[in-house]
Amino acid sequence: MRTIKLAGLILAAAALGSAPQVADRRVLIEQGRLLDRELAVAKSNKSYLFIDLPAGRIELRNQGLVLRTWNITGCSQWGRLFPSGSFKLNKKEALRTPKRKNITPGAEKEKREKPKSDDLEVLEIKDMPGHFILACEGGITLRFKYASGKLLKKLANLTDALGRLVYLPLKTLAASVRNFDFTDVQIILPSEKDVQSLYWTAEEGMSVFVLRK
Amino acid sequence: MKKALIWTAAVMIGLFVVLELAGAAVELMIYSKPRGEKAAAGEKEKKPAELERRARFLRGRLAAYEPYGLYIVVDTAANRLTLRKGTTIVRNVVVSCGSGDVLDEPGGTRRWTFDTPRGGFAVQSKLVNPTWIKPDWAFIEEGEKPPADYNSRIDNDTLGDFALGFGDGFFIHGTLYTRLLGRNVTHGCIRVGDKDLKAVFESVGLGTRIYIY
Repeated sequence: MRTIKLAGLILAAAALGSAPQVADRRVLIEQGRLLDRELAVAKSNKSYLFIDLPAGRIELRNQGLVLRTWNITGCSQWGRLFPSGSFKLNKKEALRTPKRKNITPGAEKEKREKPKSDDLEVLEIKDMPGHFILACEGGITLRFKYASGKLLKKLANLTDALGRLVYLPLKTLAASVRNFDFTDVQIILPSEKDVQSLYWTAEEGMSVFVLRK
Repeated sequence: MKKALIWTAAVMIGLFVVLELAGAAVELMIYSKPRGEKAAAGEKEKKPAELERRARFLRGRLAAYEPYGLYIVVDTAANRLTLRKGTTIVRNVVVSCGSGDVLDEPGGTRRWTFDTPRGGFAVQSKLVNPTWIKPDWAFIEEGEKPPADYNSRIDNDTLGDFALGFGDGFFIHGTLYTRLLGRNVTHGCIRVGDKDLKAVFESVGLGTRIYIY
């Protein structure tokens, strides 16, 4: 009887052990596919974003070389599950998009001759938004924000979360019933500066690689 | 009183069950209908070992693109230039990058956006005591008419002691305005302080890779 129990346990363990293999195969297939595409992009001199959700990091790469890394502190997804792959970044959206300054000819001469670092009207990282959206091809939306400890920000996040808890489930339902492409991934970065620097780095038209969980 | 408590508990439990069921339903919608591409023919039949071998091969091909020896990485958001070898940072330098300002030609159709170009580049020229041949925008910005005479465009002071050209008229060069290092103030070139510029100039050769983001 004890032998049968032991055999049963071993069989159960084997069955449980085989489950991750299926996931491994899926991950390996997707990794291979991503590498194929990365090689194609690497032939150009353009940089691209590599969002590795299982590893919890975003990398800016150029020809396979990692130029900069951002850590992901949280991630959630709504809509339909998408395959890991590379997507063209169609649009960078934010509530408050930074504006470029127009130079008035002739007015710059004095500033250049007596430059003061505090009266410069230039576009810098501090002007970038604290949360933004990358709208990629195929209806994939990547939302970036940061976890704030401030009360006002927390309240704003709560309002946002309440809206999302109604809107996104309904859209997920609609996408499922009407069979249209919709995926919304929210990615939380450690600080506002991280989000701002990612906004600065992301360029419309660039490739975004996403390895999903 | 007791009845009210029982009712409240029942309602709470009911609400919890409904929310859990709704959550499960949405999750089912997300995971039951994965969108996008199907596995390529033969991909699913491949054993994990085969898939791993292929991934290793592809990673090897990608690694072949990585620069050999020293290379330069410029973070235009942080205004930092790093001289790297593999994953080691050899030198970290404060620089000034493009302002992002826009200049329109008065009464004309030309427009200049003063961004530092992004992507992968290579050192194409190494110049000692470089001369700047001022382009049209340098005169228009000052409210002047671009001269027809070539000699009027020659400027021997602005670029400092050394310059590394990386194409399309863009240089890593010296500056007269060291107070503005660390700020986004240039017309697209990368300005470096004298001491750091000399060290970078002496370390790199023609063909050295430059990655700008």
